Amino acid sequence: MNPLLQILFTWEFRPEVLILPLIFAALYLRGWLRVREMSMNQGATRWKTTVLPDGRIVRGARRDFLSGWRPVAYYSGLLLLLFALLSGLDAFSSMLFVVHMIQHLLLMMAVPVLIWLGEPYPFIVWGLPKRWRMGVSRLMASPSSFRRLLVRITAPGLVLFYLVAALWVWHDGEVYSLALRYAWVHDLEHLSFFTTGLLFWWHVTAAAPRLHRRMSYLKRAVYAIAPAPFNMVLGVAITFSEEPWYDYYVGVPRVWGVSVHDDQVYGGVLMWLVGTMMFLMAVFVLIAQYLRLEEQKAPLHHARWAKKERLIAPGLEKRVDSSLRSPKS
Amino acid sequence: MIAALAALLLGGRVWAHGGGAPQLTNEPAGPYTISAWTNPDPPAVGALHLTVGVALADTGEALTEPQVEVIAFPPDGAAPQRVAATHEGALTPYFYEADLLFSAPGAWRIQIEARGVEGEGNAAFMLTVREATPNYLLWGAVGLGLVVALWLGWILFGQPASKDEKTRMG
Repeated sequence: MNPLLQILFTWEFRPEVLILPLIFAALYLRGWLRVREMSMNQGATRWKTTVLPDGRIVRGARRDFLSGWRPVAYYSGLLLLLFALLSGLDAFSSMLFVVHMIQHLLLMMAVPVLIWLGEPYPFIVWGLPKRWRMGVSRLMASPSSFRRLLVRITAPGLVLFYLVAALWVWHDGEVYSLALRYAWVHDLEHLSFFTTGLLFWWHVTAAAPRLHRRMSYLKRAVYAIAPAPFNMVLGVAITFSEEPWYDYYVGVPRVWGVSVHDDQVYGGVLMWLVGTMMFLMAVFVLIAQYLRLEEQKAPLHHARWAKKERLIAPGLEKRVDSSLRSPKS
Repeated sequence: MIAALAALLLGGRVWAHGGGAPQLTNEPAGPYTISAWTNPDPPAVGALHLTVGVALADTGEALTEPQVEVIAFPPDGAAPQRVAATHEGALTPYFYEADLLFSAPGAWRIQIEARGVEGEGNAAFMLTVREATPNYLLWGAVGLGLVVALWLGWILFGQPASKDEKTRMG
């Protein structure tokens, strides 16, 4: 059977994995519909005014808050998460390193980005019953010890360290073998990939809840590319290694005619190229957003220009004209 | 909240990777090579899950057709336990799965036999089974989880909401 078909058509039914995505999907939908209804009821036209999670009405500033693409991104993220954990991708990751790498890339890079693009926090909060909603708002309020702890342990620099550490530690031959030997270590591996991925992309996408000082687009672009060299070095090292890094795969019967060495090369290339590409894509998007924002800025009235700007910016001739006129008059 | 989702989601995953502690790695067995993994590690009195992979000795290509049988010889020389390893419950069609029951601690000999159109072969390994003990790691994790849940619960529901908060949150 075709390997791709085997991966696509091998599925497991695991209620314990399904239950939370289903609950969060339902809460998101309820919250999204509720926020939309509130926006409509308060006399707002759908795209120009919206109700923020804290109840404030904002005109124009966040026009795309209720855009249809947000739920599409969020639900795509959840579906991709289930694909990574329940499909043949999970099953065949025990036989081929390259399949395991695809699973890790999905958990660490694709799923978190899609989930955060959906802005899940405000919608899920609004999807909760009132008592729960108030509880969550208290949890995230400034004086709460939970929030203080969260702010400290999720500082952007620390999150970057977590991500790189997770990437390097889990791909060490000994640790990787431990993960394939003990169930709880393997769960911890997936959990750390997913959690560090969520935290990293949370800062890059600047999605709610915004607990830290917001970074500018350019700072976020630099932040987004920061892990790329570490990812590349690891990918290159795996790709060009003559020796197998992971003993476990040496003992597994070979499938689809892929040798242990080729499997390792494919996995390394995937990490090196596709992984790095994900970081680069984020950089391009952030720079594009920055340029779009700059273009939207209205030019300052020439009366408010600084001295240097008066010399180099458009409108120069007007200043020269006026200055030439004034001595004569 | 999202991190909690991640913790709950992935923490609830069961082991189903055909993995475990490697006991045999491409062990020659007639026309085949046999690999075997056991779970839990270390093995204790009670149930043991065995995953077997059978490959063609010449190419290393995984095989799915051979019949596989597992024979567990107890340390006291009592009658051996015979179990058929099948693809039932296996994540991929390339693994064979079997469940054994260890009744006593000691050194058990596990023999795996494969029979197919290519011929037949067997491979064996020794397994030291210890007395069953409580899983302290699991209980520690459950205890820690409860403490965190109680703390979050106290912050969530343990304090009265202010009037302003009630109005703002609908």
